Amino acid sequence: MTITAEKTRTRAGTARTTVTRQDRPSGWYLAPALVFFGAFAVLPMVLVVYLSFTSWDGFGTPELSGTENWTRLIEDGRAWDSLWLTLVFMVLTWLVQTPIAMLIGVWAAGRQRNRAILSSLFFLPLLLSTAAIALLWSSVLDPNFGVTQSLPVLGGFNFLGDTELVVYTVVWVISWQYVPFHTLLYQAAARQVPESLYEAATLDGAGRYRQFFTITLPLLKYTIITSTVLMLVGSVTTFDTILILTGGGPGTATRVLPLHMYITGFSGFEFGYASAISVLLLLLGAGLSLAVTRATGFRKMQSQQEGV
Amino acid sequence: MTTTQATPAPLAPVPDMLQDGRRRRRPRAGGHRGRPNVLAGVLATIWLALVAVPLYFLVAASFRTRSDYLSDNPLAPPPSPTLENYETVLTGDFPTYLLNTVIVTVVTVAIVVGLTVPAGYAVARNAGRGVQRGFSLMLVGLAIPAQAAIIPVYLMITQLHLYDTLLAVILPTAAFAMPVALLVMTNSLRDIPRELYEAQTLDGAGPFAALRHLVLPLAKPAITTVAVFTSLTAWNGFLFPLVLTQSVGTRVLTLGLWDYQGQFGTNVPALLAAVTLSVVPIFVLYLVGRRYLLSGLTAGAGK
Amino acid sequence: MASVTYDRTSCVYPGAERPAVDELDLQVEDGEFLVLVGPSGCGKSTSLRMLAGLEDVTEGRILIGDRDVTGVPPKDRDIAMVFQNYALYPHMTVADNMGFALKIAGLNKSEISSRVHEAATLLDLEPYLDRKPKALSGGQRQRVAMGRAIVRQPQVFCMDEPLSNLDAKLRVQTRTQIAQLQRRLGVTTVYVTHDQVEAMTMGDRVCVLKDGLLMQVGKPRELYDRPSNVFVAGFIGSPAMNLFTLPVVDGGVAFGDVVHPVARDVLGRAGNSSVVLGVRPEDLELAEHGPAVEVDVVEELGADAYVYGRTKLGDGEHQITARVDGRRPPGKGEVLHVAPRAGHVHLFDVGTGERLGG
Repeated sequence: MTITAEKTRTRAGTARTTVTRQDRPSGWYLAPALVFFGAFAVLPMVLVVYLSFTSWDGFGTPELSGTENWTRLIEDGRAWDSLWLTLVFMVLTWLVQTPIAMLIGVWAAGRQRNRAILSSLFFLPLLLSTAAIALLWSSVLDPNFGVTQSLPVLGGFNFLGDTELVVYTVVWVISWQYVPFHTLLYQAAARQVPESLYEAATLDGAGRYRQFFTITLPLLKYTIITSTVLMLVGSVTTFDTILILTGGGPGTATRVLPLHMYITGFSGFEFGYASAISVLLLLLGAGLSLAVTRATGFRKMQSQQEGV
Repeated sequence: MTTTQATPAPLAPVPDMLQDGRRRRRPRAGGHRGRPNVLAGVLATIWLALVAVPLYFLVAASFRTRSDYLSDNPLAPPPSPTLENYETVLTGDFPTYLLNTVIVTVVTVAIVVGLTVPAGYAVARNAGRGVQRGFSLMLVGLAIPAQAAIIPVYLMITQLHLYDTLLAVILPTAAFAMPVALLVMTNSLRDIPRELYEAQTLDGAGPFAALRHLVLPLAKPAITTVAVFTSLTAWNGFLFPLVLTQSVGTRVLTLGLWDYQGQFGTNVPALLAAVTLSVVPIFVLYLVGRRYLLSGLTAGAGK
Repeated sequence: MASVTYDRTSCVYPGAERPAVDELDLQVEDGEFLVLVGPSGCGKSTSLRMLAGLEDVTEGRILIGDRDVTGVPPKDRDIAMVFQNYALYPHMTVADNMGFALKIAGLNKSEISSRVHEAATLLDLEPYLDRKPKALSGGQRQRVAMGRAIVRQPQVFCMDEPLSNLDAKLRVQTRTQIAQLQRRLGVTTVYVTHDQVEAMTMGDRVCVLKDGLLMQVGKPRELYDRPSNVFVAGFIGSPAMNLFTLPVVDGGVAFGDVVHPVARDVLGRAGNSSVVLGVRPEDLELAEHGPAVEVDVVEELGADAYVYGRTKLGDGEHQITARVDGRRPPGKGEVLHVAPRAGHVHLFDVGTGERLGG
């Protein structure tokens, strides 16, 4: 027995060293993409860590300044406020978008004609760029000339000027922009659910709401995870909507972390310190997506699909 | 993945039964055949109003004169529709912005498609450790927020003396669009049956010939998806142009719109005309290939 | 044209515990139709793919004619392959599919066209040359796959279960067509299947593999009449041979209450006090004596009928199959007595499974 095992092992060894005669593409086919990605996406990640230990005004050469930026970050109340605000946005946008997107998505998965027509309208906001959406809403909500000013009830609010209200305004605009996208995800997923499951449930006497909770919801699990990851990572990096809509104001009422970083760097010319904020942002974004995917076993599912 | 949904075809279908089966299968409302779902229906209608009213306002206002805009009911149709706002926009720098955006979009798509087709082919067909590690590295890129990169990218672009050029926008935009594109491409190329690759080998086609004769033709749907996804990313991109360009000559559409907000001041109808115009190309794309557009949009969400 | 030689050829997949193919020694004559058959995982496809160059040879050599092709890339081996799922290029027409290898080889258009038409005529594919594979029926796709191999005019055809995607009726028809075509073209062919009927009806010779090891190679008749071990005995033939472990007694083997006489020298070779006795269903006769068989199922095929029943033999109760006259089949629940026809039993060693005689 031992001898056979020994023999097999040496054979397996030679197998690995034998050149595969099948004409497979070499690694060089991947190299250009990898180099390109490395140069403009990976290298910056390395650089930003380096820059967070320098002092740089954006014009000269960055000079090493030790941990100065990091101690400053720890003591910077505004940065922590921004981080807190970012987390608030994250939770609020998730709470608003998920139920709406899920219900409408499942509803729009039906193949009735009216649903098809209506859902093609739902997706219209997807066609607008973030800049267009933010400008549209800032016109609509403008405290002086906005549409809402000439409407009953709504006219009484200063959507963009009230430091309390503005947070919800921003959540609303972000949701308006992204609900269609997540609806699309849920619609596609709901269409994958085999009809026979519902037929079986109907025969078992399950009503519509029970069917939703016992069949639809469990089968949408991976879509919920995907959608959640995208929402969470998306809200960490929400930047252009807020920049155009409020500029982070009034005061610092909507200055989320990426905006704080941008203003510190490109308005305050403190690029070293802004880099430290960037690293925080990087850790937050990457950490979030890793944490969610780990916690839910999503990676495992993906890697199974990726099996060669 | 692909074979699970195969509907068994009856061997000797009785025509009536088949008809009936089809009729029953079509209206599948997530299982709620026939009976209307009141709660979701009401919610959908409310949401529809919330989507439609602002969009209606956008288009209607762009046809109002400036004075009408201030005095009219914003939700009533424009009493005296005018094209003057569009004229204001189109005689200004808008065409330049549009051209810049088109250039950025086309070049970015060309780079991304050009690099991810061979890359996806290598990942799908070469199980070597190096290739698979490279692929994993790019997948990690899915979790990197582009915002975190703007300062170092700004440094690199200034060092390369590319600041305030369109190339400055193109390079990082393409790089950050690449992980998703590669993922979509790889998944698609892995769906090509192994035997087809083997048949190419036996037919004497080397890797490059197989890329040309087998991979490219069969990757068309994936290429479309990647192209649409990348186009939208580039077309709507705001952050990289904001940080890496400065002058009017290199300004892209999204930045241009933002600039109009300050430039036009209280001339909201002109601003809204510009916003409307910026949507037109994507809207046309939506009308032409709704399916492709939606698949491109959700490309990031993976399969 | 050329012969094919496997010279102690082995294939070990990286990370696998035992070789997929273990020191295969096999010679395929020039123009011969050789079938590799065995259960799934026996190494038959791997053997074929090593010949095609799609799988690496870990040890040993493969020769086509006198040429060692072990390290030669597939395209230079002068072979053509027909895949189980045909592997037709979905985006190319039938003509382009068939002519693709010639195009890559750099032949000029008129030469390609004439060879494609020649093959198409041979296979009745002329009307379909401009169609895409998806517009063809299963049988037509199968023929295109054949055509793609034929146009290359190779020295060897490799066929990997080319009929398994067809329905039963078409499979029987195509079986004959492929066999005829091969004889007409005279191209050495290695054909892989898991279906022993296909193997027996098509092959000049059949090679039975199990767990990467060659069990027996020979003409279909030889395999049927003189299986060299228990595995081949049970694998070849349908319904399968009855195999019982029976005690050796003086002068023969105890078959129920009768003794089946066996030559002394045959029994002498047995390394045990019992042997495996094999008898095909058609070699069992109704008899006055012999073990009692309780009939469970009767399959009536018209001319013949097969009786499936249970009997107590040797160490316990066994399933037993016997062929009986189709005009007078026994009823379910009846009890019969059967005995092997003299000279038509096979004896195997209990320990090694090797043939002792018969």
